[in-house]
Amino acid sequence: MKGDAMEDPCLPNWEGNPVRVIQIHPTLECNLRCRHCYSSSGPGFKGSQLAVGDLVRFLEYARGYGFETLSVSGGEPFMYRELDELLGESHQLKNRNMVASNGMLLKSARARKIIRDLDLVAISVDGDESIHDAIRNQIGAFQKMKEGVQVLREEGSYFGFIHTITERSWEKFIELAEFAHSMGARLLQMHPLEQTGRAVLDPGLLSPSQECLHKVFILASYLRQKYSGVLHIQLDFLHREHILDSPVLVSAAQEATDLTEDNFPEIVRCLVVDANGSIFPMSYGFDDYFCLGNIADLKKGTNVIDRFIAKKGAAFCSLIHGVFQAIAVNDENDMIPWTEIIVRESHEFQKACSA
Amino acid sequence: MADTKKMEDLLMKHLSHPGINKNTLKKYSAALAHSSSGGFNLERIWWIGIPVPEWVFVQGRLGIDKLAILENLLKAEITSVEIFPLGIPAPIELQATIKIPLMNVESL
Repeated sequence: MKGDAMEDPCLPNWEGNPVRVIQIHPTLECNLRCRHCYSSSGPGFKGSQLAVGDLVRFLEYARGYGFETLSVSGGEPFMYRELDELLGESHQLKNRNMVASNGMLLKSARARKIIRDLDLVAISVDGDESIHDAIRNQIGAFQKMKEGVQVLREEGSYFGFIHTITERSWEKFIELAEFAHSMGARLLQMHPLEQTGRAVLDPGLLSPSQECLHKVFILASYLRQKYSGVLHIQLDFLHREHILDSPVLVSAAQEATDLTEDNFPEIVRCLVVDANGSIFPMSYGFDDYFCLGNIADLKKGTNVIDRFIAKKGAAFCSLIHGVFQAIAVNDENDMIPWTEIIVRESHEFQKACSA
Repeated sequence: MADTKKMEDLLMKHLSHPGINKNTLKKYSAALAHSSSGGFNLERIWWIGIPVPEWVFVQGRLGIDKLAILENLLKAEITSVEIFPLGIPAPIELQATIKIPLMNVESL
């Protein structure tokens, strides 16, 4: 993506771009029940966790295709009982390790040990204390998150903040960047709220309009120069002009391409393992039709990527090309939350195929 | 520091103004998107005009080997580009100040 976090001098010096990510959701168990959670995680999922052996086998397999960055999400990653083993094995494979966390469970000796096996920690923040606590559904969440960030500072970790953009986020963007900078963060990632998971049920949470995203984009241009070299401002959406100038930013091309073993990592870029062990391409929430299989399939010797290329490769490329073409001809919307669009269209694609 | 605060307050006033509609924002962000495309290192953005920006200025640097970017900049709705060569005795990079056209003032 434009402004890839890995290109910025204020983040770890990670050689070998582009980054190819294995995003794992080992559990939906969480200490919070956030109003905007895309995976509807919460305390009710106690005990349901993926086996670390299956995950490590998958990491080894995906490493063979060039996927070298592990990103653990959830649920709350620190509630995954085998997180330390997973990260340790991942580092043995010479992967980079990242987690996306609410930052509230970082004070224990176990958490501190885990943090030392992390190359980047991304902490969620929803705004100032009152907004954060309201969206997190817990009074004191903001304060506990700040205490967790203090642990990261003590451990000398690279860390950043992730903010879910709602309709009014732009009004607090400058303050949010000030907060991130004052806390010693190196990254502020702005991710548009997606109408999925628990957010669908909450009429008080509005996905950002085009106008809002334009304002975030304009403010980001200003904040990037203000914090140049100190705090990386990353937007999880793209300007349409950037996509048309460089379709490769969204794995697309002017002409439709075929998916092959060689270009699979460049086009798919991210393999997502959900809390059931199902593997999806590109982003969380893809339609089941595009499921590569389950991590348990590897035990039987199934090559899930080769099978996907053979059976679904053409459909997958057609989906990407179709979305790219739709963006190219529609100049009404310039702010493009690519992953949200591609996930939504994966469901429409499947419906159209069924029809 | 005070100047930064003043500039940020002004920017927020601009963006909050009821006259800033989607078309104005599209024009504004398109100019920024063009000016920040590959190889142009943004140094400074500033605005003139109260309560909405009449002019937006973007200043940045580009390597002498990236002159093709200028063509990209000129494709956008940009009023002027002022260029200063940097480097002695021969320029190794250019500093460019881009003036983005009047925002949609007629609609205010």
